Amino acid sequence: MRIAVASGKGGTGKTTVAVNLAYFNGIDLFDLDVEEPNDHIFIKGESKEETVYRKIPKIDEEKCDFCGICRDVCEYNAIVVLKDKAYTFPELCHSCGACSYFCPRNAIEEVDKPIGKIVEISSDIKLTYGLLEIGEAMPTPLMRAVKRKMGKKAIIDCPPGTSCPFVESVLDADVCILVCEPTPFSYHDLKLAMGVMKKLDKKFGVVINKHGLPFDIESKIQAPILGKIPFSREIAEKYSRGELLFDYEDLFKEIYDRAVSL
Amino acid sequence: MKQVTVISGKGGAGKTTVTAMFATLANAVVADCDVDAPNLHILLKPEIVETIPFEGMKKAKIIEEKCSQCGLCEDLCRFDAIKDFKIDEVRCEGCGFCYRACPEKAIEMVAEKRGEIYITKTKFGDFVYALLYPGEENSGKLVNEVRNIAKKIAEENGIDLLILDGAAGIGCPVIASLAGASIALVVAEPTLSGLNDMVRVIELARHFKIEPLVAINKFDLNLDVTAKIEEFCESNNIEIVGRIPFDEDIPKQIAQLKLPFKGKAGEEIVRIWKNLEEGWL
Repeated sequence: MRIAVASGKGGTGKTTVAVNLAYFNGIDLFDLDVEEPNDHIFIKGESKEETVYRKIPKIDEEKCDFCGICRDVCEYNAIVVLKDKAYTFPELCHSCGACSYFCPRNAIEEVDKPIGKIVEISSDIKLTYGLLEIGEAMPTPLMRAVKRKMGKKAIIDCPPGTSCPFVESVLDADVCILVCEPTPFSYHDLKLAMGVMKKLDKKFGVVINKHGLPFDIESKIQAPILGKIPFSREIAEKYSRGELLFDYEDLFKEIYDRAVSL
Repeated sequence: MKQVTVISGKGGAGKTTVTAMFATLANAVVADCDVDAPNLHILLKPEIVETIPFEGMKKAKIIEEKCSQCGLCEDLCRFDAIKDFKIDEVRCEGCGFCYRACPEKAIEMVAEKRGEIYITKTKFGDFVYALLYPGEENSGKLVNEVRNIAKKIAEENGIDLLILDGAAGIGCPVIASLAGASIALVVAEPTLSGLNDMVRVIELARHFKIEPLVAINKFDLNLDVTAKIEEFCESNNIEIVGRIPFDEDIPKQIAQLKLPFKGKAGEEIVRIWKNLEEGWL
């Protein structure tokens, strides 16, 4: 079973839940927050890297007659064609391939652009994560490359938000754990994340982190509650030092069991 | 027009807490550019003046009666968005490749409302925010629209400053919120994750030639990591504009939606704002 750990709001404890859940249940971990991956701070070991590329157009000006068809078929404004010059803007390109397909003079070749790397760490469990190149706007192609490494059993650490990167990270999960904290911000974003779960028809449950903060979120949540992690300065300090929560091993085993039987 | 964009890389570092306090202090138009998980409006309690629909990208739709089931669209689609002659709207990125290539002209591109932009007034001034519908894409484009609307309101009212609350991460919505920024205020928390993410978002700001400044939030949570943040900033010539103490009264005040924040953390954010105004704006 693949379990995705997501939240909507950032900083509610996705990483804490994902790394401890994976470690204490002996399951391989995939960090799909490729913009800001952090699981490797907690799971250390020997690492192996590979670069990931996506396709971008390269216009051969010898063959190009500046007809402008490539510009017209590009929905992302990634190509500008002037009277005798053509420019591409790789950062806007979604690598759909339409420009090279429709070019009547066969003047567009698709070339590789590096967008980041996949790092695999061998430890007590295996951690695989993506690291997006700085300045690359779209995380989803790299996320897809990381997902291709995933087996049937996995814990997935998702990016924050509720838009395309979040959706990409939960698409192949069997079950989702939404991590929230008792604050009005987190409650607001939890509702948005639950909206995505319903839209995608995903099974999900909720983990309340920092339980004990002065805002009642528990009675407002209409979903199975899989566990509660107490609000404690000690846990926050352990997190700050990149340490696992050995005192809470039983809790993470319980959360896993409840998630699996959702 | 001057523009401060508040970012952090890591979510939950305190962007919204800082931006909300700035909103109470500055003569500025404030905008929430975290369009897929906006929170600033919860604290600012705005009165909505105008709601503008956001359409985003058009997406492909197969017209069943015209489709000859040749399968070309499925072969061409790079996003695995077509299966069994049906479009998976979640995976479709709106490139229009299938629509243009279909020999039967059996695919149309359909616009749909994918979010809303709210122009509002709060007791502290003009405020613009937006909400992307759950699971939608193109948050970068929506951020652009939010920023442009905020800028227009500022121009009309003779205000010379925009304050933008950015999203987490370093991807398209963050890049869009950095466009036009005079400074990027990076809110960093002293955890190893926070440090890791701060380094990447600073690199992003510099990639786009925007001056990063750093405010350390909850600096006394881990003084060792705070020292590492300071060391990094010093060796990279980045000014630290403030150190906000860990203050249990902040979550209490947020829970009660009380703004401006009182107490030692609130006072330090006031000092940071004065620092920015005097030295950088």
